[in-house]
Amino acid sequence: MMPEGELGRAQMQFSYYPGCSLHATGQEYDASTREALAALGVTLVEIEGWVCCGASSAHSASSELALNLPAVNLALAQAAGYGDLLAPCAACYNRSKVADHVLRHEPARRQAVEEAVGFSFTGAVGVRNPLEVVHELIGLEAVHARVAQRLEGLKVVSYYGCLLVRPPRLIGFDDPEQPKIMNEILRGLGANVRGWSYATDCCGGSLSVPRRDVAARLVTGLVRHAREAGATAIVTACPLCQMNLEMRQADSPPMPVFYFTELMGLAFGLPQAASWWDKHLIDPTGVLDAAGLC
Amino acid sequence: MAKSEEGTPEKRPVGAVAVIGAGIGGMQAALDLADGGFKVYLADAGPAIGGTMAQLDKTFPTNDCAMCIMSPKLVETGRHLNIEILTMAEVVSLGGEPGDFTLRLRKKPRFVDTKTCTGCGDCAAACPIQRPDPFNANLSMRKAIYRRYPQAIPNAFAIEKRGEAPCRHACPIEQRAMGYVALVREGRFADAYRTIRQDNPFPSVCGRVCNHRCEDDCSRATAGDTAVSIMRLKRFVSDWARSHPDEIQPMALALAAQGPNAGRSPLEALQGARVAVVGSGPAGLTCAADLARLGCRVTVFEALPVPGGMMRVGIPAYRLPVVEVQSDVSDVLSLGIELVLNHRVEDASELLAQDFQAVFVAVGAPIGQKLRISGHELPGVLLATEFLRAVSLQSAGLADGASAGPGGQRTPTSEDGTGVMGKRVLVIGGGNVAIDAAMTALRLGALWVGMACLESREKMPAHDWEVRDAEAEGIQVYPARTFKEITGSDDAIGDPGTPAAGGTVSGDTNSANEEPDGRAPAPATGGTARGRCWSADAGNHVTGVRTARIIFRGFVGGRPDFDEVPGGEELIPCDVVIFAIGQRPDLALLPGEAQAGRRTIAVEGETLATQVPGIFAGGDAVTGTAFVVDAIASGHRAARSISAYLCQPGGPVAVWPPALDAGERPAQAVLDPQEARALLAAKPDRRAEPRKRPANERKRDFGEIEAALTEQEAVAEAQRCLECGICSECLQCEFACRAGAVRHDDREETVDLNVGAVILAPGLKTVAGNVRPEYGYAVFPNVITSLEFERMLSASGPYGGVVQRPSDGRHPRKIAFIQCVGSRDLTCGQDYCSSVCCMYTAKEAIMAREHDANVEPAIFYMDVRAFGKGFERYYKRAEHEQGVRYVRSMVSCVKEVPGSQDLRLLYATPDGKSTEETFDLVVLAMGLRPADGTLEMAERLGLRLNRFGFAESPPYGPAETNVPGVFVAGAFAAPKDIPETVIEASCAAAKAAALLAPARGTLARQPVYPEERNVSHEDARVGVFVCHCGINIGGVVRVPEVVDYVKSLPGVVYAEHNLYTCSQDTQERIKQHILEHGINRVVVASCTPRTHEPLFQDTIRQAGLNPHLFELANIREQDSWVHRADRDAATSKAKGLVAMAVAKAARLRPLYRRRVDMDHRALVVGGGPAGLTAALSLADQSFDVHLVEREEVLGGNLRHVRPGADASPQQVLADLIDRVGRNPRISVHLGARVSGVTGYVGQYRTTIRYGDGQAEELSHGAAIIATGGRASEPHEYLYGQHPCVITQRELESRLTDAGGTSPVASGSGDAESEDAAAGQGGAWVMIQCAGSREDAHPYCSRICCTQAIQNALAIKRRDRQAQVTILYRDIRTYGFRELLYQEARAAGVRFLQYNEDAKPAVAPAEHGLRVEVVAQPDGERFTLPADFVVLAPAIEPNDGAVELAQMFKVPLSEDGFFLEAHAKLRPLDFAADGVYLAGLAHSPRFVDETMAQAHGAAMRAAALLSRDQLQSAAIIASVNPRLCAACGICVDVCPYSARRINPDEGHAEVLEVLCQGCGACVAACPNGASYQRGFEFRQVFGMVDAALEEAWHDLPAGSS
Repeated sequence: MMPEGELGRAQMQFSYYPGCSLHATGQEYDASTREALAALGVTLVEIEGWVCCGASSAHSASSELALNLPAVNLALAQAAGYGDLLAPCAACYNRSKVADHVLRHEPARRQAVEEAVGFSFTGAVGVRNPLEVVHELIGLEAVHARVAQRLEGLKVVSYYGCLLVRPPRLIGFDDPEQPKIMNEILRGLGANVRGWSYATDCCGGSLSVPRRDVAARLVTGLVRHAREAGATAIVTACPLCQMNLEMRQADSPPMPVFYFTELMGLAFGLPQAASWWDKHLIDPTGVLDAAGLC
Repeated sequence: MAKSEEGTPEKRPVGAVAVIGAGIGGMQAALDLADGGFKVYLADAGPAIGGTMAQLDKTFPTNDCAMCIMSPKLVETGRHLNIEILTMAEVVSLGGEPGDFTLRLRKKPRFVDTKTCTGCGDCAAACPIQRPDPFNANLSMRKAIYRRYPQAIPNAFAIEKRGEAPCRHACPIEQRAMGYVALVREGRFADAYRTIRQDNPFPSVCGRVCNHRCEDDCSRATAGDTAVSIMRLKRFVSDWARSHPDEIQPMALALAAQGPNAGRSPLEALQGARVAVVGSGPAGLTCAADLARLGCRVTVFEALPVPGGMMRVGIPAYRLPVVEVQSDVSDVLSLGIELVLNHRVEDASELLAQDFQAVFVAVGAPIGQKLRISGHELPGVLLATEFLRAVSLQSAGLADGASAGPGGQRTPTSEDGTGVMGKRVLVIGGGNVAIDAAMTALRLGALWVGMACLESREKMPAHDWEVRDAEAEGIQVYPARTFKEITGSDDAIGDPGTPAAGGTVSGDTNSANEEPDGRAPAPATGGTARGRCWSADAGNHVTGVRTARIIFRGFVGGRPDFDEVPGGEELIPCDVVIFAIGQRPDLALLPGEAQAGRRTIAVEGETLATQVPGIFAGGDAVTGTAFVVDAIASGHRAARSISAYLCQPGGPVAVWPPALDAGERPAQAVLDPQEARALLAAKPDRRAEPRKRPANERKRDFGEIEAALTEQEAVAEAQRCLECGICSECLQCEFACRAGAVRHDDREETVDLNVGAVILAPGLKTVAGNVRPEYGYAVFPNVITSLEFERMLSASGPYGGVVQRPSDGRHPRKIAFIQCVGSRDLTCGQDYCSSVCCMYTAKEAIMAREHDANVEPAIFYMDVRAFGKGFERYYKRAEHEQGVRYVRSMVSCVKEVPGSQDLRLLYATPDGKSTEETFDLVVLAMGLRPADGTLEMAERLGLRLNRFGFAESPPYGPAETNVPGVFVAGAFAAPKDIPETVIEASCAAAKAAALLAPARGTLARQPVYPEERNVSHEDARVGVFVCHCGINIGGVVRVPEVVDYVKSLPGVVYAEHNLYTCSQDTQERIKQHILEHGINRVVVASCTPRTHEPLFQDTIRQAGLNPHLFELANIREQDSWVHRADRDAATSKAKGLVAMAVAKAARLRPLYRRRVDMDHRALVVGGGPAGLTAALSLADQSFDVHLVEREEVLGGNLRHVRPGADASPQQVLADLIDRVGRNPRISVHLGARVSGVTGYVGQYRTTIRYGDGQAEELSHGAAIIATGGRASEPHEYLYGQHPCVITQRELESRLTDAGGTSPVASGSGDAESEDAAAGQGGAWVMIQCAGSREDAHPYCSRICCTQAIQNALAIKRRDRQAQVTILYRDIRTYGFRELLYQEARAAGVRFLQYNEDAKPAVAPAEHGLRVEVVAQPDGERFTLPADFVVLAPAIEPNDGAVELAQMFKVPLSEDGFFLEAHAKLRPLDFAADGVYLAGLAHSPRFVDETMAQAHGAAMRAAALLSRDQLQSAAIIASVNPRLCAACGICVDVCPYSARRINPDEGHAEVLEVLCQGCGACVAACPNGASYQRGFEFRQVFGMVDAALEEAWHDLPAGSS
């Protein structure tokens, strides 16, 4: 169990912005994020009345809309006062972070956004990603201390996709080319993390519907590289990547794709973990069984 | 010598120059100026000169070994009489004005004296600290004491320190903890022991009972891990030492021989001085040991029958076995200290009255105290100190006062117990002593033991682990208590009982009130404590202690501050109470004025001096109870004070030596948190915990509780050290250095230099390898930087020249080179081109193949920028002959293949497809940046930098800066290669020399020698000096045996061996022996003549011998280093080598140099910008100049240079011509050609002929060829056939002359084109390389890309609608010219690349022209309409070069340009002295580059012309006229034109001033008429005979 002092330090709370994915295709990301963070003493309060972040199309349709939509959520979080806004979905995080950056650094556009959304940006609330929260705010030591079963038999590669750490000028919590935070977290959980060079290569998620062939080619390549690195599973922090990776694989046997929060929950020995596997397109229990985890 | 300005009213400038940065540029500037008569200070931030060039393997385009060609310059710089080298120096400030500056430098400590260090390397062999070697791009390790590279100048080591390691910093005695930890890691336990003993005479004690503050401050601990187990490593070492006496013996001897202040001369006043030390505890004995080692006679008085103080009688044996104390103590006593036991000193002053000159009182604090509570007088109430002392003495069988002896019984039995057996014992107190008393009582068989104290459990003064140990043994702890009374049985009170033997201890105890009587027990007089502390027979007087629970807040004014907890009273039943609540000293022996109240002695804090002169006091007696290490510290301090006092008795006591003053101590090393994290991850993380005996077992006896670490554990534990101090200050280097050159107490110093000018040449560094993270540098082991690859290629590099992969050592087959990493890259702020990467990459690729023919190199590039002289050929050879694949594509990312760690490169093929290719190794061609520290330096100097941090020079002001009198050279001005750096260095030197010309020669020194002794009539009397070179030679070759052998050789009159023959004192010895023994030939057998021959030659010259009566036998590189394993063979070979040297020496003849008077005038041929600049530069340096120009006007090509709208080239030209015209030192000869040259360097006579046929003869000492070049005439693209096809120069004229794009004077004749071009929307097609880089001119003309872009921009500036297309092969806008290229692209200039084999086609069109081009890389065809086609023709040398070259006997390159002496390091010189070159005559270049070159050539000439006489070389060829047939072969083979057939004599002769001694003529002479002086046949055959002499082959070892 976590030592007393650590628990005291980790008493944090965030406004929580699940976005559409975590209420739909990424329910297991939603659940595992909430529960793994709760196990680390973090309280998440879902902001009421949140709206779409505009990730899928707004930014190509209207630059105003692309800012105003996430700004609505920022305004809600600011009003709620629970602290920074936690956006687990990489796309939501990205859009919110962009809006946050504009609001902080571009006074003219800020004024326009404030008028459109009807709030006054104070800057009190920032935008956070779960990876960043776990690594920087909670700290690996606290995570380590919470591990109940080490994921020793599980061979994985960390996968960020293209959005999570780019553009580095705005994001900056991990290296955009050779990221390492997720590796460190997973190693802390005891997982057998394999080195590979494809952590930030694109999975084609945005083309998954209009150009299935392109997405399938990219995904199949990524899975092959993961297999080449000796991994039996991919770990991600993005619901679009997770779905696309599981949905568009061509090779057999299929390779399951976990959210890193799921593996945190599993390592923490959370009983709920078993309920997350049902939500996967590719059943991960075989891989977990083989690793002696389940 | 040039005449100085006469009658100048201004004050004369200072004839000295500071050169900052000692790379190749700095060295060149320094040598030029020093040769030119100036004093030079050459400062470098590093420990050695040589800069980046020293790290390079080969150099392009000649493939010379960088070190081989640089090494002579290093040696020359190092030995130059007028160059003073300052290493580890950085600029602090600059004051004053040009001509008279004060430059302040900060010299960082080097910790090795460069004058004493001989560079032998014994220190590095002894150093335990491994560091990544930045010289080898961190691919290998070096030691903390290091030399930058083997050939380094100064040839001296330096020590890398980060500060004092925290462990040492925290320690009261500054124990070199990191030092012995490092030695343990190396398995060097004897060395570790010596290092410990250096500061600490009690390693066995401190290895067990120290409170190890070192571990509290350990960087591991502060970084969140557990500290290194430093104390237990010390115990391991002391245990090991104890069990290896034979190996420790030499250490002990060395230690005894060496005072605590090694390296300092012993102080006379201390020799035999008598000092008394009162008390043999750690303070007293430490002081005694230090003073004994300084030469004092020390007597130690001890009241007890055993020495050691509290170490011996205060600490129970289960923590500190008696034998350990005894052994440390006897080591100390073995230094010759007299010990008087059982002697209580009653009055310290009396000792002074006797024959002691000083007294150190270190009587400790042995007197225990009791609480004044009811019942404290009861018989069962004891004092812990006395209890423990009694137990200790009893166990040694000393209770009756017998003398101390080893082998005391360690485990007291119940029979001789102290009366606690079977009793319930309560100890009052919560400190270490209380625990000791409690655990001792338990071991003595107490029925029950408890401890009670004021403090809460957490705040107990004892260590937590101690309390836990006690609890584990069953001792019950009662924290947070106050004590109300000691209850006793009524019948017993007032009955003191009968002490068993009436001993003092029990007697005192029983009679004690709240205070004992102020006397420590005196066993000698009292018959102490026999059997028991108190009599068990006395009955159960004590029944318990009434306590109350409290909340304790601490002590206020010495009194406890607490609140009682209501209802917290408790009676703890017990039979015996032991007080352990504090101790105080016995002060009766001191006179009243030295006491401070009852408790401690009053001393001066720093010096430990009491009020009584001559009496010092320290240890617990002064501080109250403290730790052993504090007492030792006090002893050291007392010894320093006493020695100072003895040197100056009666005077004020200075703290001595000053190096140990608090203010002088170096700062504590602080590890950067990031580095600490990396180190923590890389090193073993689990602290070795000592094994403890189980509580149940250990509490039965006094056997030691903790076991020592095993050797394996100790080494593993030592590996955990983060080595935060870098140097561990273990002193092993100091022990190893026989020359005494190590100076660990070096401190930073400030140096002020008075100089007239400053030249900055701080050099470059490469961009960080991870500047483009997508290439995975530092993530993938097989992605390396170009510098790393350079070191890999180097034969002296980390891999010995074997190209191998870092990941697995496998030879790579496919190597990818990626260009422009950190160059031409806006995304990382490196917009400029680094100028050199294309070429060094080509070289690296070629070299890789030379090392391993199987290598398949591929170079990924954007443009190949082979713009320098000979570069294009080199590049073409790489591509077409050396199998280097060139891929014009930037690599988008590098991925690593799992398992093999091969690398996948993703790039676009010419057809636009993305492709992936796997390589074994990837080399990143890193861009260049200014060196570290230059930004700060610039700030301090007020220097203007450009946005990339390079020094800015004004246009056409090469080497100048915005600060007058401060000049810049090399890569600090812009990224550049070696020749450009050398040129600019000479240019900067020229400008400094011009500024300081009136002071030339004022500060430069000339060597002064005695008159040479004539030895021609003497028989050979050879003196031989054989060098041990520390252990370099002496460790292999039996040097004394060689000397004995040598003495038997014919002609040898004297032979000896030296530790270092090159050391300063041996030089003096050699001179002495030459005089004493009438030696007339000297042989030294040592290391390499390359560095050392000039030194010894100078020495014998100082003794009056001709320097060439010297011979050197290399018995290091050629013997001891290669035959390490076979001492016999090596010794035998050494004899042979020396015998050969002696044989030659006996036949040596003095050699003399020919002298020629210098004509100080110069001739400059060519009146273009190069010639004008060179003439002015020379004149400014006070030399008269003839300037010869064949045209009737001055200006050359510069007359036509009008880049863009910028008219300044014409202003520059006008200014040059004006200054030349007005300068009285310059005679201009217009319309004249050189028609004949006679004479030689120093004395030339050149005939010039004017257009009218008139001739004139000019005399001069040197000449500069600056005859320029010209644009070639294009023969293609309709040039000359179509009026709208023009050259760039013609375009320039149109752009400037008539203020627009109007027709040139002659008119193009094509009105429509003219109209279109003049109006809006004109179409311009520029074709690059219209003549260059093809058969007629197979070189790059260097300037055309930039010229075209400038003109394109000029067009665009006038007319934004204009369509400008540049058809190019590679854009070669090197350096900051790259920014123009960027600007042009941004301005909409179109760039289309074509290949040489598919040139554009130009055809007339209905309107103007039509240009067809196949654009690369994808081969798309374009048809471009053009109003004008602009061609960039090649630059070629002017005609007449061939004739001029013949007249001056200098060579031309295959392209017809003048050929310099060496492409890299002598770019301004010809092989023959006295002729220099500059400008387009050398190669195509820009005007500012030409001007730099002209200044440089002028400097090279000035360095020569400033001499009054020239000397020929000594080792030159000579002719025996009787054998000469005048066949002339020698004349043909001489590369220096130093040979001719004398027409009058009819035989060949040598022009001695020109001869360079290469020996070609000697080898070529068919008659044997030519010979080489210093290598005459009889000398060489004499050597051969000696070599074949059997004598030394079969000499049995040891014979003589």
